[in-house]
Amino acid sequence: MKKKKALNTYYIAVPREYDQFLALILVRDKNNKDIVPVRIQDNSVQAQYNATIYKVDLTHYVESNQEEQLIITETYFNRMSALPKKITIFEDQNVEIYDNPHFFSPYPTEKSQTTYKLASSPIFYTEEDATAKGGNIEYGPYRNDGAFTRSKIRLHFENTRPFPVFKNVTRVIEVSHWGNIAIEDFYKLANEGAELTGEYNKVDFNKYTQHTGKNSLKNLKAKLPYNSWGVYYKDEVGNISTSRAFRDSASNSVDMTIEPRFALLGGWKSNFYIGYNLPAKYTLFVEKADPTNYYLRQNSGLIFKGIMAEEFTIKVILPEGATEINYQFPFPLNEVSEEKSFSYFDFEGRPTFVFKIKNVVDYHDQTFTVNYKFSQNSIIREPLM
Amino acid sequence: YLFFFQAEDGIRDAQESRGLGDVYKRQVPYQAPVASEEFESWALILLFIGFCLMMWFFIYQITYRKVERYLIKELTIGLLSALFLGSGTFFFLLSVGLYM
Repeated sequence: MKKKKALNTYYIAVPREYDQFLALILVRDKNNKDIVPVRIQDNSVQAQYNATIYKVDLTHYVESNQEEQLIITETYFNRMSALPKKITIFEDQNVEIYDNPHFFSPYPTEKSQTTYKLASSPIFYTEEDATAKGGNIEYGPYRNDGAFTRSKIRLHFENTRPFPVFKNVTRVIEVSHWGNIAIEDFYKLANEGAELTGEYNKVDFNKYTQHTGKNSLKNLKAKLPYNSWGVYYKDEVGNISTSRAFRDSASNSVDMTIEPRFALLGGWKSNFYIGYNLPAKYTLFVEKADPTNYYLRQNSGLIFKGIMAEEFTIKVILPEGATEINYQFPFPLNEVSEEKSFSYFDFEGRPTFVFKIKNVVDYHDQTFTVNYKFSQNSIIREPLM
Repeated sequence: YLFFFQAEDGIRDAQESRGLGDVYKRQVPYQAPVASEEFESWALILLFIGFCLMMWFFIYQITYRKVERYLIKELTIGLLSALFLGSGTFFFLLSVGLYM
């Protein structure tokens, strides 16, 4: 008689056509921990079913004949596309999305049901197996699906909001042992919504005419660390004065709202810098046992929540003479490199570490640490010079 | 140098953060050799002393004729005033927010 084993591994499949738009998968089991699955090597099964398979190591074993509940959250980008692609300034933006309403999995599924939650009733939805309840479209329940069951439904619905995306974010963190960390972020912002057809003119689109250019990006909200000071918002032209910042002890952050020089219509882009300083005592730490060992703790996410960055580069510039530099990130990085930066009073340059992360979402809002050894006495060289 | 790491094992769970808590206890916030509130005071005092020395140097140059002056004295006063003026300027820049 074959004894059934307890398992702690689970496999998730994603159709290849959607996998390229996948930013993040998180799996939560009954112990309520968020686990990030690992993509497994390409093999014949994946090629045969045109799927990408991820492996999850659960936090505990599931005994045979036992049930386990998993919550799998998949975050995609660029899955919704504007249809029509170009609209006039008076029209509302509509988007369409294709999806697989069956549960796409390497395992057979006894019963499955998919609900699409929209803000309002859609313009179009594939009617097969569908039940529409206002903005919620339910597909299923499907019974006894085999592994890798595929089908395609289409939804076309109204979404009048702008689609802000950061094409590139570069953050430079400069550490000074005189007590300050200077941070400057450079953003390449784009609104990837429906584009404008015809000419742009201020007669139709201005702040006095309501309900025009509803999908234009007018402002963004950011949260800076509570102890930030010397905050500035500028671009290549100069300072941008249309911004407000408020140090809020209730949310333990500096709440900043920025308005770009012009409202970004669909397809438009804007670049800007946001810089701020942090007193070193809040982010730089010394090991009690070994005072030459320093730990810099910084946030690895964006100050803008709810917006994805396609590429996020973090440059950490340590004081000249820092050695034995290590780093620790709570998630894997795409690329790490080292270089030298030159600034005031430098001879050989300041060690700079460059970390690159792709497809950064709110999940990446965590803390990373850079650890280095530095002889504190060498900073006296600067005033003496 | 360019180090290229492929996206690797991404499994992180509670054990990781439990370990970090212990590590955090062994670390204390960094204290700069001079507190930021004192930058202006240091700047003022150092610059004041530096200017005094510089004035002493100029007056020394004017008062005595070339043959009566001592090179050692000139060099010493010059060097001291440079030290004080230089570090005073450094702390002045620190006090307006230009951290080097």
